Amino acid sequence: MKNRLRVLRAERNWSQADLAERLQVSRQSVNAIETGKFDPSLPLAFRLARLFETTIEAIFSDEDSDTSTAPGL
Amino acid sequence: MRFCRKQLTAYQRRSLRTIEIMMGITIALDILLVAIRERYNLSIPWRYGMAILSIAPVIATILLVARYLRGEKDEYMRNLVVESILWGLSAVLISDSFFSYVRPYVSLIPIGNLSLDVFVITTSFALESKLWRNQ
Repeated sequence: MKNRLRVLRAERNWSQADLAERLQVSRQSVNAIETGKFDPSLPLAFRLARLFETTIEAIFSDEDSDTSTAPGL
Repeated sequence: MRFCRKQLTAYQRRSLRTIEIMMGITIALDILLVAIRERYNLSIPWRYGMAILSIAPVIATILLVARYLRGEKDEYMRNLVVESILWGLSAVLISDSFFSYVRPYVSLIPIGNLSLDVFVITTSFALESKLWRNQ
């Protein structure tokens, strides 16, 4: 799953540790989510969306979604 | 576990300390019970009693790990710990399968009580390497 976490974090000048503290998770968790090694659960995805004042879809996108929707467009 | 300890939260450190103490008790009790068994010619009921006593701290350790996993709010860390435990259990199964065939021929190696060591070493190594890879 792709995500825009790094971009959203950079827009706010937050370090991984800052974001981790706000989410009450470890810095490794933030790094793992950013690098796509770990997909967060729905509750954590909602917390991220609330924190960045956006929707889950605006942060996360399915890697296949671009190719699967392209022929129909 | 020293390498990653500074990156742990207070809850993780506290849980790890309790689990380490319980594992220490497990090892100490195991050494003590083996020494008693070899020194004295105990009756069968006593041997069963000692066997039950030896598994008590193991069960306590399992319960402590379960309590830690239930209380761990960081889902990524919870995943890492569960994965590492699975690595540890896999190593125990593999080593036990191997040594069960070797045991009749190689009596010099004290392979009877290695399961806990194999589990602790493999689990710790797996956790450390996963944390290190995701610095």
